[in-house]
Amino acid sequence: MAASTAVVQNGRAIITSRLIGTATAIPAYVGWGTGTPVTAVTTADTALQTEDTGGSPAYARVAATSTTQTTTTSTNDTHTVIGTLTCNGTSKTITEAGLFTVASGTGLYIRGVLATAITVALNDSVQFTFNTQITSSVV
Amino acid sequence: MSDSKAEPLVTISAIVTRADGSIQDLGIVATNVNTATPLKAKLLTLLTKREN
Repeated sequence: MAASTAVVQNGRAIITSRLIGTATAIPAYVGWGTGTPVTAVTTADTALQTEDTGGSPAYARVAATSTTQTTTTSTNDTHTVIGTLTCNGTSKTITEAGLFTVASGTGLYIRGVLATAITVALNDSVQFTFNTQITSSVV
Repeated sequence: MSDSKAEPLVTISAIVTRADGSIQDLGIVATNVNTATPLKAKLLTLLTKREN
């Protein structure tokens, strides 16, 4: 499966909600998944295909840093979130990554299918960086 | 005519730290950014006879 990613429909609603000042939770939890064969990302996705729920409590998601604006093209046009997940059990093959607003359950903001699966073993960790650049074309 | 673009633009990058301390920077592992050059994009449009 080719790599793909998107701000899903729920994520778009989060952006507009924050713009009007609603206290919607910000996307600050990173999760990973093991979907095999992994399905392509669609904007209608509300979850990872097969999220790793091997953590304690029942999701492996970790709190991430979601307070950073960075510059890709114009000043502060990019929202950056960084989170590190650690394999705390048997080896697994990571094929998906997701950014969520909550530690468990729904709240998907970004789903990504990885270009190449990442195999992790006990105590291996993966630092994921999610960059979302807001752009607007002039046509 | 407008070019088809995915917005917002998302990139996910990954750095793996193994239990033995070794580090693998995998770079961008997923993106919706179209990396085709404008010329390539125009050629693709012409080849597919698609205008949008």
